[in-house]
Amino acid sequence: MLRGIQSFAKRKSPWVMHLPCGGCNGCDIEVIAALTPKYDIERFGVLQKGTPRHADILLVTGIVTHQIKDCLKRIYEMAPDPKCVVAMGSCAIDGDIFNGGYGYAGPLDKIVPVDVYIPGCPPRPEALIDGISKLLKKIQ
Amino acid sequence: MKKNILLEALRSLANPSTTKYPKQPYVPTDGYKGAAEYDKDKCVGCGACAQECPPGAITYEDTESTRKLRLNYGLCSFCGRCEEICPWDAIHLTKKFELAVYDRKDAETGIDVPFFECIDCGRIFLPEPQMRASLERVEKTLAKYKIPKEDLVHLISVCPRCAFSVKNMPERRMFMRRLVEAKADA
Repeated sequence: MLRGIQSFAKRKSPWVMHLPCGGCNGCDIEVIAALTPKYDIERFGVLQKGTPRHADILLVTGIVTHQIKDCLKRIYEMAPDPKCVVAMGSCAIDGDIFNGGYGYAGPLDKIVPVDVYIPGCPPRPEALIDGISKLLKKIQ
Repeated sequence: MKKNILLEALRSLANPSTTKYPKQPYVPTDGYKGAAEYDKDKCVGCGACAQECPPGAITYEDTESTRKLRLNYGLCSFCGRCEEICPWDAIHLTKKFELAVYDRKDAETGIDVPFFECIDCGRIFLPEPQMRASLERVEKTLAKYKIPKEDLVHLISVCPRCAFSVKNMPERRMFMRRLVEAKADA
């Protein structure tokens, strides 16, 4: 029974920490848009949190630069288990146009394990909702 | 003051501004740049999209019998350059946006185009649909000068190396001479 309650709670309150790593901020604007009443991602229990210690999901946008690589690893370790990572935008997945640049530290899944990839440049707020709901299905 | 707030609350209850997205499908407006997809009937496999793609999301790999064109959505910036450059109007940006995947290898689309073999030596040198399309184009031009198509088919179906071999050179020269004469007559 305790397990049932646990999984119910996990599904119904995926708290998200939004982590912009680098890039152009286009995806960040779409994340903000998804939090507005128009798209209202809080319908799924998603709350944005300012610290990784409160978060279940790390929502990483933008390319991983050399400067933020170590911080990202530390933030990932800070988040309590069980944790998920969502790579939002083409930059986080494979680097997009920044691929091969001097500041590019490699795709996100080489640094931390990623659960769901959301391609798009930037992905629509609807695509983000789609990605989060796919992630919740995976948790289930 | 309180009355206004109550009225606004009632209004938004009756007519909520939040989209009902996951329950109701959402179709983006016209001009939205979503995932690019190949048209299997039109693509000839020339690889122009792979050359022009700014982030290098489109790549092609030549195996023994097919050319494998692959578009990786993880690298794609959805700029639409491939659609602009495609000479055959075979790649289009669709309105698809639900691209979320669990494995990044799934985030791709592609097309396999068969190769055309040189009729003399059997070496591959051009995708087969491209061969057909270029034959059609040349046929139209030849019809103007009243030269039958059969004269050309052999010349165009050999790879560049065979075309300039000793065996094929006389036929090639003859054809060129006929073409120049026909042009002069016209």
